Amino acid sequence: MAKILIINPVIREDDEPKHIPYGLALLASIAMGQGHLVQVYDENAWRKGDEVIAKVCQADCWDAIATGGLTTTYRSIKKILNICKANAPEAFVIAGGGFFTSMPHEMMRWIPEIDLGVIGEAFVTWPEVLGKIDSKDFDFSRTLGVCYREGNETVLTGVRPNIKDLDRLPYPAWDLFPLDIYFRNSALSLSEVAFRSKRRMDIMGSLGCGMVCKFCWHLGTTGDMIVDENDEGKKDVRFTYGRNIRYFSPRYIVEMVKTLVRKYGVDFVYFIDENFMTMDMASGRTWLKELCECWIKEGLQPMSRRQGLPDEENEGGVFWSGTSHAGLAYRDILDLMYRAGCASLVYGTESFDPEILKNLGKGVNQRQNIDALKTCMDSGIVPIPNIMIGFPEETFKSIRTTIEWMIKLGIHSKPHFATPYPGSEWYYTYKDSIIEQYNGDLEAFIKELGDAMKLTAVISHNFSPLQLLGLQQIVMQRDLRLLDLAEKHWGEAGTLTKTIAEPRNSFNIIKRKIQAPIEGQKERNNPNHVNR
Amino acid sequence: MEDNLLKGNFEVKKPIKLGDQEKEKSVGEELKKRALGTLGGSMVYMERKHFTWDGDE
Ligand code: B12
Repeated sequence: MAKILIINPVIREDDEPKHIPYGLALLASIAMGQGHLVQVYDENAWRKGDEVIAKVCQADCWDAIATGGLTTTYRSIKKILNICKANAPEAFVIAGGGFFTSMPHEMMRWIPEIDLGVIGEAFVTWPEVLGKIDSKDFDFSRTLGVCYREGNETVLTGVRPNIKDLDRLPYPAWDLFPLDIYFRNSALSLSEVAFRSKRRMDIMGSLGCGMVCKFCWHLGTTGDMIVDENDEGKKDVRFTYGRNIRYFSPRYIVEMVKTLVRKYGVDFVYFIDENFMTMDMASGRTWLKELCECWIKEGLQPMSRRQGLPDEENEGGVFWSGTSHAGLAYRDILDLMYRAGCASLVYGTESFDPEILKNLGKGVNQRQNIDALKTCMDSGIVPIPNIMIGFPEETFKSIRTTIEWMIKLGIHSKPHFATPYPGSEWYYTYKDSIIEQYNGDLEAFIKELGDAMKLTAVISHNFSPLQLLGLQQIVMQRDLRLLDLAEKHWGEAGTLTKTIAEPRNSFNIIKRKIQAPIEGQKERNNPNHVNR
Repeated sequence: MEDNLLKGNFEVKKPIKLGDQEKEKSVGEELKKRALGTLGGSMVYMERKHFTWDGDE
């Protein structure tokens, strides 16, 4: 069987490692399930630097080295793969995940060490690729969901259908990661119980979100991606409003959490799901309810929630957190979630300005944004409203509205900047402007991406970096006086400045619901027949 | 604390143990990381290795 080295790249260099990479852990588990010989080196957890990575490459004769992550891991991945090729030149290098899927051809060009890239969901593609490597068959022209090299060209094959039944997936290979390091950083300052957690683990209950927020992206893993020939006749990725929403059965999730409690004494579970509430809707309002009921019935409910005691007095059970949606979170389900142990819910509040919300694709208006936080608070669950500034339509007025509501609702936030991460609608809409802002060097932009609290490319039509940085500070201080002063000084200047962000249409984004294939579906959805 | 930097379902030919890799992480590096993370006001950090001014005006 193939000998595979999986390397987890560094994410958030300035922070402690807090999240076991779920995708890589699942892929490790799938590979072992196929009988392959697998080792994981988690550079994000260990942070031992280049020399140790070189030793890792020399530790055995690897048939394949694989790595991947979201776009912000690009810097780390590029460096790691460079070291890998130098120290294990025979190994076949495979890359996958968000950084690759959003721009496969560019990544093949920028990282010449990559032999094969996997786009989108890899649950089927990955074992298929490993099987081929094991049998020394390096012709990938008929493998769906990959990008391979042919001479100086890079070739993308067709899109791989999503799997239908998530329950058939094995549990992630947690033991292949240095759990002590992650457990040491269990505490998250999201809620009192998360803050006190000693043994937190992330889990995934569902894949997908029905919303079409312009800043968001679904990694090409949730029925949001097709492959099509572009104007030059070259196959490329296209992202759409189509979705293959899928969830694990409540029974599967609860059994997995029970395993985590038994094996590791986990006291907190952080759901990485994109959005609980769209799952609630997609399931006809059954899934979340069943999940909570099963959680309670199977004894995972924290004692404090069962007996109505303060959480500080809790002993046993598992608290949890997730992500909600202001337009879809109803009080009945929130109450049940609270009882089952839900501690906090992230709300992508983003802004309180009606115009901005209308253009965002989130399907939420100002009233809903306000009410949702109150409803959540009333249920006992801590709402975590994320705030963003620098939207294309952002004005002094919209910032003022946001600050006013932050004050009224007691929100403290150092806002994110509206950032066009690759894959998102914003990215493709403003790609030309981004390239211009980086003096023609798109890679420089990708290299710079990290947390959105840092300003990178500007997509605001009205504001320059100078103003955005000032506005971030003013929003954080919730200082309407400074905002008024800034606006007064700005005067009519807005009519004279030249915008640095201009929208355009792009081949890579289709603003329609074109569903990508899922297992068991007929050819009628063949993505190669999309009308432009 | 687990000892092997590599974790998997077989023994690698040349295992890498944590202890061997504990190159003293210099206090300088640690300080720099911490200081840069808390920059603000009187919390200032100055590079020790990249002092580029050579004395000329
Ligand atoms: C957990 C998480 C994090 C964790 C880190 C997780 C980690 N260790 O990698 C933390 C909290 C640190 C984080 C931070 C951020 N995140 Co985040 N995060 C997620 C989240 C919620 C789950 C990721 C996950 O595990 N998914 C489940 C697994 C199964 O999917 P997967 O990892 O993609 O793996 C699958 C495939 O991609 C593929 N694959 C992945 N790797 C590889 C490797 C190989 C070799 C192969 C073959 C295949 C492959 O196979 C897997 C199975 O199909 C996603 C949203 C989501 N629900 O997916 C956002 C998401 C990945 N994050 C995102 C963003 C924008 C951010 C931030 C920039 C947010 C911000 N505004 O600051 C920061 C970046 C911080 C930084 N400085 O780098 C975006 C990604 C955008 C992009 N272009 O890459 C996402 C998609 C959210 C969104 N919808 O916009 N994030």
